[in-house]
Amino acid sequence: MDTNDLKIMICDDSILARKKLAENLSSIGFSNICEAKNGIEAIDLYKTEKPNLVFMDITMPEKSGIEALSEIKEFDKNAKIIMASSIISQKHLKSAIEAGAYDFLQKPLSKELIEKTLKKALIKGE
Amino acid sequence: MYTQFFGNYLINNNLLTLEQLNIALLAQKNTRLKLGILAIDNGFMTEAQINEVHETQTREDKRFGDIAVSKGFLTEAQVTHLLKAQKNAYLLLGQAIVDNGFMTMADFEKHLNEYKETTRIETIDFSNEQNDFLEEVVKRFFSFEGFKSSDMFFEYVAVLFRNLVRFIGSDFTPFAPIKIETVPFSSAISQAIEGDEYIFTGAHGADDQLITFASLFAGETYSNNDEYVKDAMSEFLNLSNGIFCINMSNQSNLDFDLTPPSIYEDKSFNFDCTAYLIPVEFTFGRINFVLADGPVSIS
Repeated sequence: MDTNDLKIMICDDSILARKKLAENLSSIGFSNICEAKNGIEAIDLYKTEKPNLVFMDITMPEKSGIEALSEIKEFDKNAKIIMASSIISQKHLKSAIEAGAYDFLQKPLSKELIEKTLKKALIKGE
Repeated sequence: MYTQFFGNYLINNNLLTLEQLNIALLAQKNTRLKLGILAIDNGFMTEAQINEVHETQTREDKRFGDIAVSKGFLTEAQVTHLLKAQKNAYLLLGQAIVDNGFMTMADFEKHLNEYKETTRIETIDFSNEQNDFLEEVVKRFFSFEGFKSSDMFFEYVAVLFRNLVRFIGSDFTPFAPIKIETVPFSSAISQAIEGDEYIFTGAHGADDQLITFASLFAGETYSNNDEYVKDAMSEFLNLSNGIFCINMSNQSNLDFDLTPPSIYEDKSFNFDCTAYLIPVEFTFGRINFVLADGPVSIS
């Protein structure tokens, strides 16, 4: 599978977090990337870009990652959305699982963790 | 962290100027013995294994030794051996102070012994590496009179200092918290921790200090206090607060949530609750952290 055929969407209110994740994705061969900086932008961008996979922060202004996750899943029940947050609480985990998150990662995201997650989600297609 | 609080002791007792301490801290920075370096030196671990442990430490508030053992890189006996070799590494600061002529060897010995006596530092088990030890030291140096759950704030400060070492560097000196009602600032960030308890957290500093702090955290070179610097400062606070919340959830079963970080310029934080300013002096200047047990009003 050619990784350039796969589009990845990053949604995070932090410029630094978006930049680091995009750099890591690019270094492992994923250069087809689109970015959103809050939940509202993420929903709009998902509908126009139809990415193969989404990395979604939880704590964001305007609309949280969990709310955006729910709305995207309503639009596309097959959406693969990986929640990434600096805080993993029972409440977040429960809401994310109920809303249909594919995976839940703790920030900061290392290159190794991103690679492993992408392999599972896209290459193996689990 | 023993070194950071020894620096605090020397300054508070007028035994060294801040400038002298910073020169000594810069000098010892290059010679500080880290557990990973000692592990390589002893042939116990490879560089790849050290990197894997460091990478895990950016997400998990666990000791180097514990992670290395859990991954099968070190045995418990090897960790004990390394900690024994490491425990006197703080003496490198003393060495730098004496080498720079800021103090004679005899004076250094005298003040070190007084410091140990004051802090009852010798009674602390050094083999505990840093976690429990650090909370003990923080409790001896800091007072959080007025906070309803002071243990939670000691834990917060211990996590913050460990994250400063992890993400920024070990060349800093924490000063005793100052009880405050108002904090004027030129540039600040804040984030509230909500849920089973409420904690207001924030940080402010002068432009140059914020730029250097943000550059060290992000691994980038910033030159202006622009949105990138403010974003990196916010992300540091967000990551550190996230680790604190996970610790509290694991230790005390408390459930927390974080608000999105906020950025302010040329305003004041005003508190009707108990609030403290925690000045942290880095070799590049001072960053002030703010903690309160209730909400802030901004004016």
